Amino acid sequence: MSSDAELIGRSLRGDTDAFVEVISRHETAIGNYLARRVGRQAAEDVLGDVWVAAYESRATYDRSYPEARPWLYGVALNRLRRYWRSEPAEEPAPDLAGVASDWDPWPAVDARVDTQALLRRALARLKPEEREVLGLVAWEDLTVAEAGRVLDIPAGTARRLLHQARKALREAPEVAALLQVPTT
Amino acid sequence: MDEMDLMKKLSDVPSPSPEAYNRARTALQTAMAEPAEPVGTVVRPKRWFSWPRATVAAVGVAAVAAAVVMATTGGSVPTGPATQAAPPVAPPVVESPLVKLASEVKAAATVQGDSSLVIGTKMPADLPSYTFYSVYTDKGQIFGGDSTKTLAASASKNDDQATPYHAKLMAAAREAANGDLEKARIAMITAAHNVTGLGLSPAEADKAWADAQAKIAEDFRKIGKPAPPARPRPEGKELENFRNNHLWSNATSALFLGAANADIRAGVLKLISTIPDTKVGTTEIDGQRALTISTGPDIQGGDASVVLTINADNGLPILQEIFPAPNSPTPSKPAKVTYKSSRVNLADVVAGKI
Repeated sequence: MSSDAELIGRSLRGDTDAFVEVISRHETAIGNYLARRVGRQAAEDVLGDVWVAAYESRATYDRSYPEARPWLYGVALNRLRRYWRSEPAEEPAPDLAGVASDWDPWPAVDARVDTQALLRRALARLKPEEREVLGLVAWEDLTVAEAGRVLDIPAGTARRLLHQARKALREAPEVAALLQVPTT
Repeated sequence: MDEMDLMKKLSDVPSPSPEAYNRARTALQTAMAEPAEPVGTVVRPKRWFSWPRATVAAVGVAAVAAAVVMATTGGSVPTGPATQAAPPVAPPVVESPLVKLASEVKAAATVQGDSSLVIGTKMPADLPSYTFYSVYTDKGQIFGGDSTKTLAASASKNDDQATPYHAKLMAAAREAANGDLEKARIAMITAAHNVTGLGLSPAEADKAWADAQAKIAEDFRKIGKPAPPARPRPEGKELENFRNNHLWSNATSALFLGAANADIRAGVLKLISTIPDTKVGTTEIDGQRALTISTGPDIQGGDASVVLTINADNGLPILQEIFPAPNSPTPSKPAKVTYKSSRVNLADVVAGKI
């Protein structure tokens, strides 16, 4: 089976089917990645843009990497950045101040807490680059080095960001409490 | 269990539908077959409708978006003779606080810095908050990022994201600030497209509308869906609302990109003052005197009301809130975005010194 890099090379020589094959291999992963970040509806809206952007920028692909998925995550992230910046906020948006101030962690946590909501609160306080590395590793099953490739940063930097993110999460009151109680 | 295990609990989300994957592939196939406009130039009137619900592939261009708008908004079409001429601009009331503020913004403009920086923060309920940085240089370049680092990278690589659409927005705002407000208003309404034929002859307007209808039908066919029936060109109040939606959407887009440019800000304020159905109120937010500019569902496509809060002393945007329209069958979700704007030097942006 041809590698992604080989298929991209063929697409640069005019074989458009080769590029479609690359997309076919990774579309579910990229679709889910988009859905995790902007929700299903918006992901469906953006997905076509991602493929077009990838196609238009395929000449820049470093073909020393046989696997194109990290590159496609990077293309998708760039599209998301433009999407986030240009779109009106049509999703619910709680008051930022409230998120930061109304948490009284220890007495309130019990087995019935909404794990996801609490974790999201903690995630919201991470730096964007920390959150991105963490998401790529935890959700997309990328290695730290691959996450660095997505974000166009050195592997060592990605490793430091992941370390910071995990540390911040562990130390967040919500997460610390969740790690000490059984969740259902 | 550790924090990574907890993270994985958040990884399950509803995937895009099989139809969405097909549409995305169609968009790719179309781009490969006939390279079209750069993706960045795809512009649609915001807030007027739910783009995903329109189910048009990403190849759709601005004219298509407008046609979809008219295909989805429904409502009766007023009878009577068509009019293609630009409706008279509602003259800004001399005492309009927005016009007064625009004058003060112009008078207080400084030459500090060479770029506008706007930092916006959105916080969807089910997702982490998102902060985005937009730099609009006085030369017209646009750089963006989600941190000072990625913003610096965008600027240092000269990854100019400005499109012809952005240039039109900013030119219209400047014209409003310094020149002919009526001319500026037409330019801002038509920055993305002019399917309603604003300022065109009746024959030209008919052709513009027919071309847009044909284009949307073609795009639906490309993605294998039946094309919606062609609709007559809107008239009367529906047409006025349609154009005011474009004016609001395009003008606020200019503001959120270039708020710290005094010409852009003053021009946007004057343009918004020409929308008859906006209401201006006073409030205080974070200790700042502020003005609220409210628009109802008529201007926002029927599904939402929008309130833009700006600093009463300098016109800089502070907050944008979207409220679902109670009578809409498909109300928008509530939303909130905060803004902070300042003048900066591009060199400092590149150096990460902001």
